[in-house]
Amino acid sequence: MTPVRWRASATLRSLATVAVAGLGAALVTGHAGLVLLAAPALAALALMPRGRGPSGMQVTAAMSASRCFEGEEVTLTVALASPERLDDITFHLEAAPGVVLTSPAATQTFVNSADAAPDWTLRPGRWGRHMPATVVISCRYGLGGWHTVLQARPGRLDVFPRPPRVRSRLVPAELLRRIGEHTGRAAGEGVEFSGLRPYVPGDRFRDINYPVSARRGQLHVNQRAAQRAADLVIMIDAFGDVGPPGESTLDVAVQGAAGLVAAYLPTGDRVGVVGLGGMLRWLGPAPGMRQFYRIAEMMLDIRSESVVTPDLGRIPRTALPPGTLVVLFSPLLDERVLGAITDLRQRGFPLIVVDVLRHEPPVSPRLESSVLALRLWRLDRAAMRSGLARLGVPVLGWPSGEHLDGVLAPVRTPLAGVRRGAPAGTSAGPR
Amino acid sequence: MNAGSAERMAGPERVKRAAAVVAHPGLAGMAMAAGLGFLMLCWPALWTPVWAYAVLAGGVVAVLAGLTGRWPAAVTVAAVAAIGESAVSRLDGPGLAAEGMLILGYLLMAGAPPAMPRRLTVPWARRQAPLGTAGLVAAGAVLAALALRPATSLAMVLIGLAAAIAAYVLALRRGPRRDEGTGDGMPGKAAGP
Repeated sequence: MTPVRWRASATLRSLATVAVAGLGAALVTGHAGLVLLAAPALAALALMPRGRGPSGMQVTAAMSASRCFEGEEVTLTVALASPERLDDITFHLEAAPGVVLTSPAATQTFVNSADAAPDWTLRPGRWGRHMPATVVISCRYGLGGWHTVLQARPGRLDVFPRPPRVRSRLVPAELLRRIGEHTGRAAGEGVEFSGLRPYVPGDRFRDINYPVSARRGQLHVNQRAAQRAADLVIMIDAFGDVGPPGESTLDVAVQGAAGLVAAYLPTGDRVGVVGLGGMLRWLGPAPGMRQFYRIAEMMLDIRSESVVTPDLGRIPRTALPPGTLVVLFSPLLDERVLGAITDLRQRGFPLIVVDVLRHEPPVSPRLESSVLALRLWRLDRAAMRSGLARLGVPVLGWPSGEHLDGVLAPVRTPLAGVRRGAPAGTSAGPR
Repeated sequence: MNAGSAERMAGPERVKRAAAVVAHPGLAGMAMAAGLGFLMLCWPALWTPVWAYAVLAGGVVAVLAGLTGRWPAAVTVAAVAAIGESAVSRLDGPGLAAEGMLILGYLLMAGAPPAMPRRLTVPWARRQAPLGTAGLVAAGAVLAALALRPATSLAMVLIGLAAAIAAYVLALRRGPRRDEGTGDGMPGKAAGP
């Protein structure tokens, strides 16, 4: 039971003021007839109960789900139960920024009722962990003479980024010794044809290639490539967040990361994530869809500001195994990230950088120095990209409106890195 | 299900939808309030001198401002403007009684819940009927009393005015401390993580 505090309503205050004004006018002017202006208001005041409303009411706020993806609809239900009948109950929903109220109207009113339970359908449009809405409940009691305001807030809603459709085409040169869907270099029990060899006792008869055997006069069997799983670690640069809401660098980075995670995990690959920005956070590569939700929950906490320089050396070997393919989503605006890229490359990790900066700094066309500064900025970024390319790190831009698959398309060949089991720090060198 | 409230209700079945859900803001209530407000201001203006039209204009502005709901005191200002007009007018007893009833109607209508749909207007108005009836009875009683032409007494007028001010202060005084809410910004804040 929530304690409530009743106050004189605006109607009661207005009636009282009018009554005093009418009587005052009668006194000042000496015209007794002006009492007629105050009489109805005084009578209405006299009829309003002196006792205030119920001292407590039950208010609950519940959502149909505590987590959802961007664009999914959740239902918010607020219920109020009063031990006594109220004159009117008005619920007004104030949606948080980025949350769209789809139906019904934000304000709902109930008249002459003790219980009320309106519901609203909300559609969160931006990932994150936030309060979707606040509901202000206004109740009146005693012929509208008493008024109270309550506030109902549902719990936090975890909004996961909606992963774009991506295919798991990027693979490192070194694959895991686990069964997966990527074609490895070793022969195995996969489906991809990899070569021919003479028959040896023990080979399966269905592997015999009869046309080749007939031509060569000796039995030959088809060899197939092994299907192996891959390790993928996604790094998200959270040192800064620039750009308009919904298309900021961090939004784009998290969208891309979610897309890759959703693409690789169903095929048996192991995926991990490292958040660069403030305190270093990581999740070691692991398979299964459970890992998707662990990564998604970790990404919700990634939005923070800090001046701490991450020390990649603190990441344990289990979180960043040697030879793992690393995809970094970054706007490449922070020197610390550039240092981390160099460090990773020198440690021999196959690395791809996806540039998530979609908006250039605003310039004033009237100012020549402003335009010149923009040109210098562009040259600086081109030089930085060139330097990274010399280091063997492809930098792929992700323009607005383009699919991530198309962005990653230029990198098709398996990316080289140090061999598994080799000591960290033995560089594979530029590609 | 994520219930962020202090207590849970007995169950959804307990919840009764006693009134219809609002789909659109209540334009009908606003129109009625505006109509009563303009009538309240224009009725005494028929018997006022020309200079009192300035008060009428101020009252009209207050009525319009009261419709927006952004300035709650505008409703009171409009009603006080109507009283000011009546004080300088040549309205007789029945006219003043009608003006008093118009003021009461306007105040009640302006206090209607926001966004009240048309189908809820009638049940809500029925709930306000006792107040209107009481006002009507009071106006009739005062009219009858004035018809008796009682002798004027300054002492009685002062006592009456003091009683009215005392009633005003008592009615609007703040409630006792034990009725206060949780004290976290809003009175009776119900839920939160």
